[in-house]
Amino acid sequence: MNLTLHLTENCNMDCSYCTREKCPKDMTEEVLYKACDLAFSKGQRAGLCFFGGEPLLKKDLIYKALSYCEAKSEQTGIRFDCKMTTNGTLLDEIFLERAVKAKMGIGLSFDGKAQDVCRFFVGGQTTSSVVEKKAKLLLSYMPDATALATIAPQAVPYYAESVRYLHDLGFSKVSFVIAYGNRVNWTDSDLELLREQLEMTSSYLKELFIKKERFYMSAFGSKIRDCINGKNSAERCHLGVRQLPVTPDGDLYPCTSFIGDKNYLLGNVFDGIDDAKVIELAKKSSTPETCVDCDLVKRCTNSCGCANRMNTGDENKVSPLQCTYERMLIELSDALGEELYQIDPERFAKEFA
Amino acid sequence: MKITPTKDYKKPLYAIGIMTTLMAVTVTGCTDMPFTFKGGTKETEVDLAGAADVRPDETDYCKIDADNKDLVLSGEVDIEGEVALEGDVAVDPDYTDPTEESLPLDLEGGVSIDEG
Repeated sequence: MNLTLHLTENCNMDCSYCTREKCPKDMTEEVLYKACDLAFSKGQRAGLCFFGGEPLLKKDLIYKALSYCEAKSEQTGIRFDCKMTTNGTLLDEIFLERAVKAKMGIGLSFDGKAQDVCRFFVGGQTTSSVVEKKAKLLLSYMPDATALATIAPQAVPYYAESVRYLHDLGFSKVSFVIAYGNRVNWTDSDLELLREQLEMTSSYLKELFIKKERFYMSAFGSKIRDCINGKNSAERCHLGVRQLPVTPDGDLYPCTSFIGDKNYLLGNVFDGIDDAKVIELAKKSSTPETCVDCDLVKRCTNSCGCANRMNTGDENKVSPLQCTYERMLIELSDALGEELYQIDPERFAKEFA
Repeated sequence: MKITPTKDYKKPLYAIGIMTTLMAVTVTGCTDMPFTFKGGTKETEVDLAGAADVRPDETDYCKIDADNKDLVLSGEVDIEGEVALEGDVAVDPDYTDPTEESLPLDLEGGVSIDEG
């Protein structure tokens, strides 16, 4: 099974939209090993995603987890996968060599040209120059690494420019999501500007397609791909099933935004998962009432319990922000898809089908 | 900014066209594009024999292989009292241990709406 390990609740950065509260709590080795055992206890594959806080503050734990799980994989024959989401500031060659050996997938949390708008070191120093340097280092070891950008309202004017910048830096895959939660305040004018930026981004993606440059931009790419494959975007969210976060104390929750809410505690690494609570959670999951009659119900992410909870406090209730953004994104993605398909249907199929 | 259910939405032509192509190829076993597309070429870059290649979702970028499949929970049998998860996946509490299946590992971070 898959687990997200919150190795620490500490972070060396202070981002304006981050909803996680920093504190100097780290995962103990005992919890770490128990979590690894739990990952191997069910299914034919064990997956760990190292997360935080900033996971690279606890490199020692990552090294230990890798060695332990690799040995366990060897013994059991169960495949082991690992990933990490990091702000990148503490990446170094020694770590990257080990990560390559472990076939770790790394997502660099990097907002591109908006980095210095929202993301600072603790103390207030800007981070863009450091992260750009680390991004180049990361790409030299892992050319397929992904950049993960989170766009807060104040970063919207830099959206299209950031996509271009990350491409030029060498990323072939970028993920752009908008920031949710109580630390951001979206307005209608922000969304109007976002639409303009998405249109500019769409033009840029078309330009790259014409030049036969393969570049995957998740916001558009996933909408097009899911539409072709008849995949329901909403399927991605399976609270308590797909991937459970593990807190430094070893507690298990359905998703990161639920951490700390004891009503959603699903067990811990010592006693295991409370299956009854997982089932109870599944029973409570439903399509948001406001979305039932919408034609886009299976194309949007209305049932992402994590986003819904961050926006409305209820995992089954979608927010006006998400609805507006999703409608906009689907419309623009479909328009881009039509254009790319007309330009070169075979390559379009290769990239998206 | 408001919640507005969309009506009269039509599936885009690119999705219909591609799926028609893939289905035709599956039936015929032909690896050439069975249709002439506007702006299309006769050279086939894509091997479309059989199903399209299995792709991970957009955050699952590291390990692309045949094991990366969509989420399928066991317990798809219709049993009275079943609980429907979003996405038409049926989970029967007496039959399914939802954590037993092997799923692709997701990258954590941000709100992974689609992309994560």
